[in-house]
Amino acid sequence: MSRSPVVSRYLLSVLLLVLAYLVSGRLGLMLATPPDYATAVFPAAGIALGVLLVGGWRLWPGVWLGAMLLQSMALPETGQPHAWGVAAMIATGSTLQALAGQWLIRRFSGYPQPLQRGWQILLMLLLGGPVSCLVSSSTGVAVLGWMGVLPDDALTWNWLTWWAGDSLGVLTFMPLVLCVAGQPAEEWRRRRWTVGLPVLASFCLAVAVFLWVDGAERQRIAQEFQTEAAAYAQALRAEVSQTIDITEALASHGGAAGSVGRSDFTRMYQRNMRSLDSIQALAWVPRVPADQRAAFERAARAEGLASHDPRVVAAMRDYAIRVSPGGAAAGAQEDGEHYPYLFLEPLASYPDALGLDLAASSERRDAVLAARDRGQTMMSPPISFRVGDGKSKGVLIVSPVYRGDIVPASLAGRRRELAGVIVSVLRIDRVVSNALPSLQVRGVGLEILDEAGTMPLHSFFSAQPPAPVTGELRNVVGRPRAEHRFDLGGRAWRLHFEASAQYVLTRQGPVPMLVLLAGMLITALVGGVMLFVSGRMFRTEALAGELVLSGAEISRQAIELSEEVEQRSKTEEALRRSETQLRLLTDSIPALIAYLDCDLRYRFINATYERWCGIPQAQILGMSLEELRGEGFARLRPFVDRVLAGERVMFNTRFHDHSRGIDVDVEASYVPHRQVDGQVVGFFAMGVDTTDRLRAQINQQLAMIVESSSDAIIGIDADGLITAWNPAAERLYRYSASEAVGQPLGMLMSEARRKAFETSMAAIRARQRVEQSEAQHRRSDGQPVEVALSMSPIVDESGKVAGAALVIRDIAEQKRAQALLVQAILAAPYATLMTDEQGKVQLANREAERLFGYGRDDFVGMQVEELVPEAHRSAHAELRGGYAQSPRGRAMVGRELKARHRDGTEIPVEIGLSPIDRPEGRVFVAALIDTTTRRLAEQALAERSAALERVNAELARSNRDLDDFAYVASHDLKAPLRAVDNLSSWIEKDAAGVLPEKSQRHLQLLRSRVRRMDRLLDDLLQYARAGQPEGAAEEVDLRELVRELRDLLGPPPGFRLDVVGELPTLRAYRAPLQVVLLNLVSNAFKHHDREQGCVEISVRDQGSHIEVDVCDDGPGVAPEHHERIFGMFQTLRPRDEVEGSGMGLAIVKRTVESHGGSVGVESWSGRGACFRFTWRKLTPSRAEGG
Amino acid sequence: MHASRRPALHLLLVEDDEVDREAVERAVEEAAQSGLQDGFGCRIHHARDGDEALALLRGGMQASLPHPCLILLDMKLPRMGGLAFLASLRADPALADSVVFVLTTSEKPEDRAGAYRSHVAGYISKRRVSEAPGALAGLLLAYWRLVDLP
Repeated sequence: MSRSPVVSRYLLSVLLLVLAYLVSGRLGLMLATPPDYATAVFPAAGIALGVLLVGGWRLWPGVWLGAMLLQSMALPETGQPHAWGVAAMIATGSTLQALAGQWLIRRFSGYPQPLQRGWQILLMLLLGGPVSCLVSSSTGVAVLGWMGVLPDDALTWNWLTWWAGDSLGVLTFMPLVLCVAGQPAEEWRRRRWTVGLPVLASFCLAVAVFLWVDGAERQRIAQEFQTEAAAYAQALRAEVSQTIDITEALASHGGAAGSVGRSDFTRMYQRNMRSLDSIQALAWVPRVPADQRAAFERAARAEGLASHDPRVVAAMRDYAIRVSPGGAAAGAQEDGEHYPYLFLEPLASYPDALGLDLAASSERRDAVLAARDRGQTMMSPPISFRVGDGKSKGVLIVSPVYRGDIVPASLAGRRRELAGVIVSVLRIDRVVSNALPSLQVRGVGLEILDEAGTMPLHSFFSAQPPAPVTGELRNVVGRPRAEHRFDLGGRAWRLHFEASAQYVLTRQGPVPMLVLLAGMLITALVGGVMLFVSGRMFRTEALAGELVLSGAEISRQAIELSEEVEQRSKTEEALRRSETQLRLLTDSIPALIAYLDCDLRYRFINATYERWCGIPQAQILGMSLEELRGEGFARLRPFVDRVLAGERVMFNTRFHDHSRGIDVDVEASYVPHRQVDGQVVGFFAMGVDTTDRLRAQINQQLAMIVESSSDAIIGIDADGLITAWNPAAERLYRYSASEAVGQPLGMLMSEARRKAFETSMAAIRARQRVEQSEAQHRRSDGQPVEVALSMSPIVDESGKVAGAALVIRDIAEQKRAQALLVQAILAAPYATLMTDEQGKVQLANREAERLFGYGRDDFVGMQVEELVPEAHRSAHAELRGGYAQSPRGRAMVGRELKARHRDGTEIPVEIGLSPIDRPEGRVFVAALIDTTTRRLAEQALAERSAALERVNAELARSNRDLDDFAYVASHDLKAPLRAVDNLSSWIEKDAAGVLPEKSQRHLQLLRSRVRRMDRLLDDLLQYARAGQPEGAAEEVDLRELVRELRDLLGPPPGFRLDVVGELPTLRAYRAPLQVVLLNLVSNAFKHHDREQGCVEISVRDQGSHIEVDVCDDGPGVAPEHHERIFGMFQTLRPRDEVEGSGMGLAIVKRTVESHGGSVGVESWSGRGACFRFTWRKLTPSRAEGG
Repeated sequence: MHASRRPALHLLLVEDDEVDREAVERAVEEAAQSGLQDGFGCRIHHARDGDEALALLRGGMQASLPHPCLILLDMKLPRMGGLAFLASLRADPALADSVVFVLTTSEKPEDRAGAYRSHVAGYISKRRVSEAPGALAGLLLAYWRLVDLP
């Protein structure tokens, strides 16, 4: 499976190689020199070798196929019988050559490689070029020689050319291929410009120069040929013309018919003509009128002929005028004349021509008659005649002979006086070989045409040499050709000369080939040199790269070194500086500070250390720890080991202070000194005198605590007298410290409390702590103070109880808060519980009792989980534990929270939970709301609104259905209606003269009812559509609207439409508003009962809407009708009186109401009615948003 | 001025209502008889619905119905209705350039808008036509006279 891409890739490569080989090979063959088989440069060899080098030797089938195809294209033209075999052998040679070349290069020169060194390049070019190219040239030439394609004497030269061509091809094209696809790609790609381009350019230049030189050479040859052809034409004309002259001379010499006898004729011929081998025969042809034929034939027979040739004797004995040699006697000619051969030389060649009638063949007769009529020697068109056993082509030269030797002046005379004609038969091949003996040798072809004749008179082209496709390019330029034309004996001849390839070859100089060879050599040299140069360049670059690299390394090391030096000096400097600073710092510290290295030798000590040791610093430095501390070292040893292991060590020890002469408790700490790499190189030893320091510290801290405490802290002695009194105590009891100290503590207490206090003191004296207790004390002003107090015994150094410390807190505020909390819980309108941190209920209110069904006392001490349904108890306990860790006030809503009633029923609740911190600990207050009723209400509400929605949807749908119904009904009803209207009108028209008047009136009535029905349906339609939104809301100018109304309605004569007051502009849907006004106004006009009337429109702006009055002075509407008139199909007057559907006001009502307005009518008894409707003003946002 | 004669007007009437067909025929006939339409000839072809009209146009009777003809189309038709017919007509490259007048009872805005979107030459309400029967013939004949058809 995975092989197929590899295979197809391989096949593609081979195919491409075949193509490249074919194209380049064809190009190379075009440049070859005919008739040589090999070419001066053969790029295909280079491409084959290059591709095998780059793509691997396995691509060899591409070379073989390419070569095979190339050869099989070239060879058949040579007419070789075994062309395919030859091609295969040559192809094999080419393939072997490419394989050998690539092997040699890989083996000796090395590939793939960038070819940097001169010897590699030289070796590669040598091995790929001249050396391996021996293979193909030797194979190819041997095969061609063996097959006879090449003559033996051409073998050497062809081998040489072949070899040179292949070598040059390799030298030129192999580098090109490598530049395109060679490995390593980087170097070879760069060579595209340095090597590929120059080589390609040089190659193109060489080919161009070659073609130019070659063209000039051919030009020269063509010109030579033209000159030569002109001379040939001249010679030919002279030759024919001479024959004509001789014939003419014979004719005139022959004189009058009869004056020359047969023997004279024979003599004449032998004297004049025998030497002219171009004249095949000479004859005397007398004119024999039909009436003299018999006499003529008799005379001829009588004359006879003595000859040693029996055929001749027989011919003369049986002499008769015939249409063909030895054939039947000729019939009478049209003009009653015969032109039989009478004398004929050489008679021996044509004995049976005697008596042959020239007039029997039209072309001969034409020539005879033309000669007769013109009185001139004429030539016939080309004819073909027998020569020996073969045939030959030629013309007859016909010369007229008149009686009396004079050419009569008139045509009639010439026709009358013609005695006969002298005919010479001109053999054209002889004419050509006589006139142009060197034609064939020089390789010039000739064709002679009689312009009026049908067959070519003469056609000769020198045999082509075997011409393979070689030299094609130059053959395209064309062989030299020349045309000439001359008139003779009444005929026009055209001569067509053409040079053969041989002609061209023998005349062309060696210059073009030399130019090509030189060009290719230069190209190859350029390739080699450029390869060499670029190789050197790569090498130089590589060396330079190495140099740069090593230079960079050196400079990097130098920099590192200098940095290190600098770093080190900086470190030393820093060390010095830090040591000085360390000394300055440590000398002022009353602690022991020393530094020891890992050999446990002192490296640094501060002034305190020096003082305590009593030995000068200089002496100590360098000493070992053991030397300095003597037997004390053994105690230190474990700590030293630990610090050297990297641990920070703290321990207490004793140190002898020589300056004071006492042993001192010292808190020592050893801190390891690590280097960057973590290695311990020494340690700092520090010791602090703990005796003094601790005491001072404790006292100070205690004082501060006492001072800043918010609780009152009071110290008493064993007798209960106050010894200490902090500011908080001052604030609590309103005694100042000076007032209180020395007083008995009992002064703060009532008599009863004092007794209790005595028991506490007894406990103190027994060294017991008195835990927190609540008490009521008195302030200095006698007011009671709620306090919580705790007491601790104070033990002196001897272990006796020296007094007690009291911590007292004012808890009045807390008490109030607690009372408030309890009150709040009890008064809460929800069930509320208070629990401690363990979940024990401490308090529950009345609502909680109701909710859970427990009594108040049942609650106290109850575990809160008991109030949770069994299923959730354990989870609740866990949750409660988690909540106690991070308490926050929160509401628990929406969950499936359930409380458990005493009777086990579960109640849905929402719970609010808040932690409250109290002195005795944190409590949690939970407020529970029973959501049972609320849920029910919500559910009912949802159901109701869903039902409402359904009803709404139903309503909307039925409205829509109604609209559709009204629309469809009115539309479908209208169609038949119009048909009725049409039909009745046609009847009316068609039967106008026939129908009685009554029927005509009925028809009119019928049509008026139809129209009424139509209007009714229209209005119904409009009603149905009323309230459907049409168009977009816009700014409607009512003045404009009323103006339009007036135009639309065209108030009837005597009626006016007036506007009272100003008309505003409002934002509204225009169309429905117009419908409303239109209906109201047109109604007013329609129902008016007088000749003159007036309708008034007035508008009042009411903020969110406008109020429009349309008032008329018509008959008015009785109050009992006020409701009815707005119904559908309601009208108060007969239809025949007032045309109306009764829908107008219904439309108005529906339209107004669907736009959120209302409409009504006011009518006063007597006259006039006022319709008032309201129309909502839209705000832009509502209009757009909707 | 001498008006050059035009070939006879071929009218394809797509209409299922016999009375409406006759109405158009009568109107054209009357117009021709009135003598106002000098040298005018008109041939009316019928189709009862969209399918039939398409068949006719696509060559059922090509000889008698030359291509540049005026089509008078009703909207409400059995089988293939007016809008569907227009859609098929415009989709057919050979017929897409047909000139169509809609002649219908339908005054539905959707029908009107749909027809004009399918490039009809005019949307004519039958109601208007029955009010003035001569006007339609006048319009068609004048249209035929003045307008160069594709």
